[in-house]
Amino acid sequence: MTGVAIPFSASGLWFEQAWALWRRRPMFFVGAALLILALRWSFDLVQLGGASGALIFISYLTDALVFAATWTALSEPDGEVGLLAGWRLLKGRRLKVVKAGIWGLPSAAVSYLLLSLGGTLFQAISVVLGARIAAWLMLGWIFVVGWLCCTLLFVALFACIETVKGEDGLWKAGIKGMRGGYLGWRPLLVVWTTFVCAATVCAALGAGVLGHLSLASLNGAGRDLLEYWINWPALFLAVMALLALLVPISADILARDGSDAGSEAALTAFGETVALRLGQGLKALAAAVILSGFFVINVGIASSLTGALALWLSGRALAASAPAWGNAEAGLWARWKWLVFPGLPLLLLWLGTTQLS
Amino acid sequence: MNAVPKWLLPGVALAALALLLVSGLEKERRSEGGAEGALMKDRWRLRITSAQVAEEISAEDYDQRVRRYKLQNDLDFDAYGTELVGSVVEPLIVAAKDLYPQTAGWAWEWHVVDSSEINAYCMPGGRIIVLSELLKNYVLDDDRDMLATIVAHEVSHAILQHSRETMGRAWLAQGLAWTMAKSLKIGALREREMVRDLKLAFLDPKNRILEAEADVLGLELMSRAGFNPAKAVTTWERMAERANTNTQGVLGQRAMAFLSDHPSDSDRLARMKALQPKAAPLAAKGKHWDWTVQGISDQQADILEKIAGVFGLGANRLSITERHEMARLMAQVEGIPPRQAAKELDKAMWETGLSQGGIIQMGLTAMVRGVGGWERLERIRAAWAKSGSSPPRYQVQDPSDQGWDPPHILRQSWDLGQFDHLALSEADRAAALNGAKRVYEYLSSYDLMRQLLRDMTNEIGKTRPRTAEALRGRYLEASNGERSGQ
Repeated sequence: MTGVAIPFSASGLWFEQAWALWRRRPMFFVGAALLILALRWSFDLVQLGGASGALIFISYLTDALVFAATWTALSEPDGEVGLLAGWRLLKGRRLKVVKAGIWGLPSAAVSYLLLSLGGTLFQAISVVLGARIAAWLMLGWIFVVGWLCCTLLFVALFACIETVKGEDGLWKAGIKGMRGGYLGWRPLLVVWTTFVCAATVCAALGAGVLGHLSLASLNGAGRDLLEYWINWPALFLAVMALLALLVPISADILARDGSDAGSEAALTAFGETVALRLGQGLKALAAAVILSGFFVINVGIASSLTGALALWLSGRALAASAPAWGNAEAGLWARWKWLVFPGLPLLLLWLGTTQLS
Repeated sequence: MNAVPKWLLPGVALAALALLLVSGLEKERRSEGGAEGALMKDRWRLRITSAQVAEEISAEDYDQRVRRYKLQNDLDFDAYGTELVGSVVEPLIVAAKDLYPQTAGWAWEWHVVDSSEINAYCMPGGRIIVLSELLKNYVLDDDRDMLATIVAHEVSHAILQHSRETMGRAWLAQGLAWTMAKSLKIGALREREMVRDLKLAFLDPKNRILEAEADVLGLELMSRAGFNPAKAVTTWERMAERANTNTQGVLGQRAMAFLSDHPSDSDRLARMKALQPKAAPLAAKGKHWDWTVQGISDQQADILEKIAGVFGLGANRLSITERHEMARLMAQVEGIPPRQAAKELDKAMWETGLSQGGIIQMGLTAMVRGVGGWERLERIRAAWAKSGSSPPRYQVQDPSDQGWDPPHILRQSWDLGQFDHLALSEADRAAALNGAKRVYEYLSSYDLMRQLLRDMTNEIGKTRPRTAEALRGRYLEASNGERSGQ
């Protein structure tokens, strides 16, 4: 892994620069944030049952466009370029930017997988350490998972920015984004912590308003509306802060990456490392799932062993495919066959279990 | 825009938060003498919901429930259950008012609801609902001490205003999860799980503390009201047996506790047992469920005892148990003269009726509630005394004969219709009729008869086990079948 890890203190500089940027062009950020909020709201409006997952996926792509247009507008050397001009300047690269938005999916996948497992894993821990300690650990788990997802989300933004800057390869843009996330995890942790604290303050204020507004003055549909909109100001502030931080963070992180990220050697080293570590992570998760089978009341031993076997086989296969992940020339099959090989024995196992039961 | 200092926005937010925190910090204060023998200490609590909003929300919920139950004819469907709960709730209310004077202004009320769910609630402002399944034999067995344990626990939640703490924290957690999901899309695909995880990690640990608090204050409250605190251990053991059938053992309980907002059964029982030495002296000094609770004199209590006779409480208590038939059965089983059997049954019924929770007292409570207060009851009694008939004995006209509209109270002896000649105002007359009707419903309640039969059978079984077995076979098991077939 090349490049120098960025210290925690860099975040202070990011906040200062973002604040200066916001003060210079407040209406620009207000407009961009409102655009993102409008997109979120429209997704809320059309959200129907199973479609919510698809809409969230689409939101990664729309965010990629809005953030790319924002970055382009703010990075123009002439300055004072509006969001619409930023959008126009993206002409010819918009489809590539949308594709780069797919790099947001690791964040969604990690969030989906780790948050789903949280309750089960910590119930197992509660059996050993008691409910109180398990609850504290779980709070820490949510925080750490959130930070990981936040960092992965920045990976997608970095990939988009690399694409705007001229990177044509989706794979290379993503690898560069991941390197950025890896180098900047320390100050990004500070950004995440600040976000959580600010969001908690806002949520507490929202709860305070709801908790002090008498039903005599607002009830029924009016109160339902208030409960729906009460947290939108916090969202508006969070999105605006994220937009303002985008340029300082990306400029700093992508500039500090000293290595030639586009070189074959760098790609091989980084891609291989990521695949290897993810493989190890899946194997570690398999051990945790076995543990949950013994201690969690609503998880059977058989299903936990099957799940653990699936994770372990997947992890081993992913680690085995690591060289292909580092090789830009490798084909799709070489990179993704790790998903297929563990699937066959598991399918047989599942069929066998179904027959037996 | 340069004039805007950079600390302005976070400064304003922090100031607002600080204001919210400071204004939300409250302490539930006891009466001056209430600290003596207290089982729990008052502590500062952060409440980001106002008392008014918490009460409005719970009142709305309560009104909706009551309306629904009324429509389904599930509300106060059984006079015996209503009086049983009333006889437990009233002393607890008195103890609560003594200990926390701020509850004196509450609009206390309670209802029994026909439901297969085992539960009870007490909402802010003192609105109590007991679900009938809780009273069944296999749960609390109509035991007033055990019922007091559960109701006192629920009342303690209301006194300590726990809903204000939980409401605010729930809004906070939901707001935080929503902002995370909408801004950085963290947990967006699993928003429900995100909220659940935050609940497990953030809300439930605090709720377990609140539950433990309600356990402790509940124990204190029931002890101060004169109920037997040792029964709290039995009650929670029984509730644990009911809830824990699939997860026996300490490890299972720990896992359950993590997923629940209630403490584990083992923790709860350990706490209840540890507090027994402190609770017992409170119960010994406690205001037992007698008429002194209501602040009336011995003379007034004497009047009430006589009025109990007026309303036929004593007579009905004996007649409803089909005394003669039972005596014959006992004589046959034991090979003793019917007269002796009747004597022994009378003794058992008398002792049981009084020792098993004040059957008569519950009837008197029903009457007091029915007429709407002590003063009115005394006026009615005075009118009876003035009418010159001694001893007066009235009973409500059997609804199966004439219907309740208009209701009548008939003189049991030869002076039918004399009630109308009593010097009572229209309001007092209506109240007297209502009280009598309420007592009648109570006395003719299926559950009361069954309870009397069961208690008496248990009592007689101490000396005559064969008779007890025969009585159970004839009356109790048969009535079980009848009921299940309804």
